[in-house]
Amino acid sequence: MATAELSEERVRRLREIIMDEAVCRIAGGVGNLPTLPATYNALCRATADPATRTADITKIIETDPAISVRLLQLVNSAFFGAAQRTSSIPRAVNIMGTNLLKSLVLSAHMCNALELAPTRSFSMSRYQNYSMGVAKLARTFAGSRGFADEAFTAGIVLGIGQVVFALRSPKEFEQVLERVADTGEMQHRVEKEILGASHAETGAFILSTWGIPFPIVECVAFQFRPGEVGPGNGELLAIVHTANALSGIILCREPEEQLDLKFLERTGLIGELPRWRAVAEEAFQALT
Amino acid sequence: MKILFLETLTASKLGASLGDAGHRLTLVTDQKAALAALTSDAFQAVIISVRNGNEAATAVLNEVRKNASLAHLYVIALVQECGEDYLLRVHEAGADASLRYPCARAVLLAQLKSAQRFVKPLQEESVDGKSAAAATTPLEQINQSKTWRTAQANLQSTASKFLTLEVAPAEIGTVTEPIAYACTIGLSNVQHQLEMRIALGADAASGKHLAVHLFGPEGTDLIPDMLGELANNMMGTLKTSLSGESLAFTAGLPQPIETHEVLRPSVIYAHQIAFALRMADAAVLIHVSIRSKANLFVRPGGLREGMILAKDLFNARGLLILHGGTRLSLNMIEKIGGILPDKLQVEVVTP
Repeated sequence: MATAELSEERVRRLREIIMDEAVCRIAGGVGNLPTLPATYNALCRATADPATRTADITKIIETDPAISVRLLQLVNSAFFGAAQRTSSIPRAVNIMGTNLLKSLVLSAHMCNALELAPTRSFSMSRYQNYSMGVAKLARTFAGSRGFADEAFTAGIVLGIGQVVFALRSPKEFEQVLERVADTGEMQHRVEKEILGASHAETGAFILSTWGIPFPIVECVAFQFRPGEVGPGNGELLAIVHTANALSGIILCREPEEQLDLKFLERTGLIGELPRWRAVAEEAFQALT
Repeated sequence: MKILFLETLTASKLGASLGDAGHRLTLVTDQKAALAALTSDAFQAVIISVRNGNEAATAVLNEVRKNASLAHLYVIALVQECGEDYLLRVHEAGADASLRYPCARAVLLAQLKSAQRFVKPLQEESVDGKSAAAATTPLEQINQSKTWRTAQANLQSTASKFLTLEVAPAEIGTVTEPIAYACTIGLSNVQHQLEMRIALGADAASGKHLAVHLFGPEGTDLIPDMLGELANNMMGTLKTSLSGESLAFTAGLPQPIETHEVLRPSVIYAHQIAFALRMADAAVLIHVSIRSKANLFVRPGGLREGMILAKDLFNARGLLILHGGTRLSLNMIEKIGGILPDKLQVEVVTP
């Protein structure tokens, strides 16, 4: 993986963040936390096998009704720009592609988990649309850099820590959301104050226990403070961070300061920012 | 689909074959008959066969597109021996789609099938002009009524009587002066939670011209009154034609409004007609709209103190901004304006 060289220092910094006492208190241990979906494991095994055919992937998807429904919803959405609606799982699998399917499985699994513990102050459907927008932007920004699918997946799972909060500390999470609603403070800062950790490191923790690839876990962990990542190639993190920050700035009128310009300079991507901003503005034009 | 086929080519076999496919076809062969059919009967789509330089076809297209009550029509141009320039003119005149003739019947049928996505179901009307179709809500009943579809003509006639001038309908785009005077008046139906609004706007020169015509040389001070009275008359016309004893004037008198609100009310209305009325040396813009008062969709800039949120309000990230049922204060409105993009709409219940 060219995007995140696994230097000892880099692994150490990630471990330091996600093995924080508060994170372990909230996300550690067992009980009412989603486990890595079996469908995801099956998909990973299937896609690693060069002999796998679309029909095999289709069989895996069809065993999971929730994923099947979500897949059809997504391929029929404006996001994929399908010319005609389809209700065929094999066709939907072809449209989506296997790598994106894995992201979808993670996303749908996360959302299903939260639906079991609904939080009044959080709209999962809104969040799903938002994360899909971030994922799409991240993939566009990555372009031909060779990690477009990882960028997409990272975009999808950036907010997974919120599911952990909703399931493990629902009262405190509700308190966080109420305060964000009242004061307009940045959510991750209020989470840190009330819960002791933000959804970034908490999400990274749960993803690491699921065995999700290191670069994606790193993107989630450092999404709000990319400058703290260890040395080495930080392009993937920079791209995912920028996609998320620009989406917040454009769609939620969040402050510009959350975009870490120094980190973009460090990764040599600062020159791309004007173009990326234009792409994001165009992508969200219909909404703004 | 109910289709009017203006057949100026030798494609009558193609036209006739549409009937076999379940479409209800009215075949006409000249411009005059086409326009007569369009004004006397309701259609969903129009197919116009055109040949290079055929001005009758483009004239029909122009008529269709400048008539607000025909705005729903899906128009397919069947073109023969046409160069790109003429094809461009046909589309500029208002054709939604074009096909090169000769073309296979299957292709035309496929085009019509595709058009069905854009075409509203036809509402059949009984002879007394009242909607006989399955209009389920009061809003739908009004929208489907003949009164609504002929509102432009009714208001033109009212304006002509009130102003004692010949009044002709005109496209909004032909009125280029900035609006200097604007007012609105409303009707409401408490039982059915309906609201109807007429907004009028006039540029300074038109306002002066009309006021002086009505009130003499001293009339220049009475431009807002003149516009308000015209709005009042127009609303009276609609009220009468809707047989609406249960429709009451909201505030009783026309209210001055910001000029930009004539065509862009801050509240989203379900059904709207916008057009201009032109007299000698004067023009007035008209915007008529109806909505259900049960739920409103308002842009952040159109929120007003006292409105009540119909549902929990979330930002794009899914984070709560305000709970549903909250009565909006000025601070809350300011807060919403600082978070939500302008194009998003907030669902509110009017107080």
